[in-house]
Amino acid sequence: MRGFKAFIIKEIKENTRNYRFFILGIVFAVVGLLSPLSARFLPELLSNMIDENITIILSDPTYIDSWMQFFSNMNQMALVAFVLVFSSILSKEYDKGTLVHMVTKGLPRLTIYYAKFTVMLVSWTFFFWMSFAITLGYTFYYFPEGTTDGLFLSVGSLYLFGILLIALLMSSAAFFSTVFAPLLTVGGFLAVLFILNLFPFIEEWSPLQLASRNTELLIRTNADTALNQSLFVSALLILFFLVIGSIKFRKKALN
Amino acid sequence: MAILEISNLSKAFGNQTVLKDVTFSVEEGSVFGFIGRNGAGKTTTMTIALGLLKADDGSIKINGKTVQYGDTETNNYVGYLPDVPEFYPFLTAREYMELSAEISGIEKKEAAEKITELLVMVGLEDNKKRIKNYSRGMKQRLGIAQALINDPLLLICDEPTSALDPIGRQQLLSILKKVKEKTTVIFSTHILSDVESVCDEVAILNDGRIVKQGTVKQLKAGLASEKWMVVCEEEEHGRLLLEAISTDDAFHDVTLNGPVVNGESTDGRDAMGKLLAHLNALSITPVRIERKEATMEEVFVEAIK
Amino acid sequence: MMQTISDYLPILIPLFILQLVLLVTAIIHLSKNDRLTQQNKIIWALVIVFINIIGPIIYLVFGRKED
Repeated sequence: MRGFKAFIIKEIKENTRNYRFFILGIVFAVVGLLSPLSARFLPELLSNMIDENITIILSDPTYIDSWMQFFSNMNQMALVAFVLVFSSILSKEYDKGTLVHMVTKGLPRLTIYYAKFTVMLVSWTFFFWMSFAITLGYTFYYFPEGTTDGLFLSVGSLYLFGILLIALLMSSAAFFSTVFAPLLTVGGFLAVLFILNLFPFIEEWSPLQLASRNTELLIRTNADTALNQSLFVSALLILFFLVIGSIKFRKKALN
Repeated sequence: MAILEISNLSKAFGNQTVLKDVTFSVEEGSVFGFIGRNGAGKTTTMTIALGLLKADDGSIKINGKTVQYGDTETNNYVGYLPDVPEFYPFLTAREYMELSAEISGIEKKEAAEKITELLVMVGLEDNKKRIKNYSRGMKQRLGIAQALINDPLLLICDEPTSALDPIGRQQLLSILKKVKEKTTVIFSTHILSDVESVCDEVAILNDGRIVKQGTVKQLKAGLASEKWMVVCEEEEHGRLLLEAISTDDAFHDVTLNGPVVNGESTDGRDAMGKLLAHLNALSITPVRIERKEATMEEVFVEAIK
Repeated sequence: MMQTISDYLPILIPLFILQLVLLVTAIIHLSKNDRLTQQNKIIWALVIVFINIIGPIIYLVFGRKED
């Protein structure tokens, strides 16, 4: 793995100096803060806005609401921001021809591919769990009665779903050369998952469960067959995406 | 020994043929000029030699080893400078060189010295700016430095001078001359004066074929005709000489310009003798009579006819 | 109402600090950026200041024009 470390350092410098890490740090921290805040704040805000003559029954928010907000913010803001920020992970290099120097100096293409994936994976891991830790801390503070039962399963599922999308992003960046193609691929993949969910048989195998059943898992606190199938399929897909991407990248024209 | 051997190389993009049966070799220790018009296939040949592009047919050997498409072992012997080199804009020159050194598998301690040495050679040693602020010429010089980091046996430069201003060009050519002491250099260009000033040997590529190859001297000597010039004292003398030689088929394309007679002959040596004989017979004493040395431009124009 | 606000302060303060850090980073970068025309700078400044969180991010991702 000659050059793996050097290339990783280059990636870290790049992402730091191009403000990518900075932006992701802020976005993920905001998601971590916003989730318990909006869980706590929204019902009160609603009851203040509504006419006093109308009585609606708003149950008091619980720690479940806080995590519900976390899952939805993580899906709709943080994960989207992450994919957007890293969508140019290879296209910029193709565009400028900067990889040519690396390859002609004997840096194996697989090293480039997996170094880039590693940087994304480690960033996702760091930012995701940082965001999680913030939400966890505040959820305890505001909803001391909450438990952590089922938390790992439901949050871990979402984390794995993120890895699946990152693997797909990396793979499609090997196949296509533009910035938009990887974004379209990830978007298209999600669209296909949603459509396939119309068929119950596919739904119980679909990786989409990892991002859609989180609140339910938090309450159930254990996995059922469908979730296990989903975890299995997701793991296979991650491997599949990575492998076909690396095969393609080994033979890609770089100039 | 030949450091680079290209045999029967062919490449087409779609139905457009770029290279047809290209064969040539580069001897160790020379500066090899690879000449051709824009779009003649120079860059294509070089990128195939680097394993960046797949050839349709034929093979390339560097230092006796065959070049593979994709990751190729032969890249360990090669340094490469593309025509418009782009480097990671967020790094400084030194950081970029450190990255290059580490990728090439050079020991950290050895690398630090080497990097300083190379940066001094290209005049970028004190530059703390990030590469995004570099000018074209600075990038080109950094390009040479990074290409030499692994002590390559062969340095491949793709039109290194064409994008530079005259001063940048001079700097770059003098760097190439220095490099020549340790490394075989092959560079493509269409600037023929650069070829004359640094190249030992050249190959001329036209329409995807090698049309001429040899040392600069050989190619010039091999020209189909040689130019000569006679300067007479008076216009009258010039006219007389023109008349006298117009029937002799050893001379062609003869023109008269005042007292100056210009012409071409297939055999320059023979033509000189005949010219002197004619002058003697006409009792004309010329001011000057000379055989003109061929330029690379003439060689090139004739080769791509 | 005062009671509620102080209740949220432990979360509002870090949120505010994050926004401020983001805003200041983007503004400092913008003021040093010599690749933009004066007019573009003013537009970016408005975007950064008035579009909460997203504005500075958009500038740092698309507006730097550095490479």
